[in-house]
Amino acid sequence: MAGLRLPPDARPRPGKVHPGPAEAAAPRRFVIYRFDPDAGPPPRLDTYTLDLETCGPMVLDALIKIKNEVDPTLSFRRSCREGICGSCAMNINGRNTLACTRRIDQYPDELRIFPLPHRPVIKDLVTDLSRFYRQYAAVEPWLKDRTPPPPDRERLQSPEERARLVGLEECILCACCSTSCPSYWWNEARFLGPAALLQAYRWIQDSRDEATAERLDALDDAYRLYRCHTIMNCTEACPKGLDPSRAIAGIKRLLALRRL
Amino acid sequence: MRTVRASEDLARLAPSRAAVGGWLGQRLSAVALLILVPWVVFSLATIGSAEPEALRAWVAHPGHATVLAGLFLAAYYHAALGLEVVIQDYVHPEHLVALLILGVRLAALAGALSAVAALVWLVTLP
Repeated sequence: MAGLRLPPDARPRPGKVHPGPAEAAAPRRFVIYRFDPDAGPPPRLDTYTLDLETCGPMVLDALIKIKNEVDPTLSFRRSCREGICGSCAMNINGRNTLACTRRIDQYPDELRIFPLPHRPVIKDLVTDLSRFYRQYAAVEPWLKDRTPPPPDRERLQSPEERARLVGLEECILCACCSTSCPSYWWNEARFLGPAALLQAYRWIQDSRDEATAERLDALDDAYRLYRCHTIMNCTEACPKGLDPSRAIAGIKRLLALRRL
Repeated sequence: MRTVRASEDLARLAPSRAAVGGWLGQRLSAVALLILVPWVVFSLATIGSAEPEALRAWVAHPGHATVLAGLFLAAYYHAALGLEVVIQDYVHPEHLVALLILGVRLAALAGALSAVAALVWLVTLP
């Protein structure tokens, strides 16, 4: 059955406090979720105070500064630091987002940083996304054709056909949307989640793809697609400004039209 | 950390292929209820008499009884679909889901049939 509270050993306890420099000109507190797999549960919340005068402007800059200068045991994923790779997705002050695209001064006071919700935690802010990636693979995100490609050139699209992919193909698979969706929290083993469904719609909308009926067949399921109840947390959470709920509505509309 | 294994993904099961019918049914029955419920409320408010006999005469009118039958069928169908969604959302053991959905469908069918039977009885009363 669905649980409304975290199990007791998953609820974080107050942890270590790392005071910042006494002469800090612009001190800012960061409360960060810590889980050490070697120590086991429960997780703890460590507090770090940084001087923003000596720190980069983004939340990821603060995390890197903490890891480099204060506490090298802190673990988190990061790579591109410009909102393209999706590695540094985490929950900051209650919202899933990318640490590299959020300015520290966007937040009023203390920053509370947690891993993406409802994912098994590997360590600190690093979560297990293997099921999320399997769900992406399940929608078969590649071009499927029956007609052989032209021998002398690539498959062409008109500007209008290409325009239908705008808002769909920019997804970076950061998992902010799926892990903010209550339906996904409760039924993640069967509901594909907004990210995978956005990608499914991206291929359904692609004028070069010739497997639309097959793709719709695969989605016409009470759990895979219809666990979406248009809560729209996914759209609210997407750090790229995409609209997975509109894509899911598009799939439902196509299935309904086909049925009628 | 306990790794989520691929064998635990039930999404790998073949799709049920029937889900769009329930989704469409929910919306169509909602539209029907949106029209029929205000009609019943308005009609009952304008009968002009609180006497049981006046009410019975209004319900026994074949036109009214036919629309009321549609209202009851739509209401029970919509309620059953709504409860199925709640069960699918919050109950996870698959055998329990199937059992509860079967129970809801049977209860809704019994409710709809008894409502229609009551209407037929009222219409055919001497």
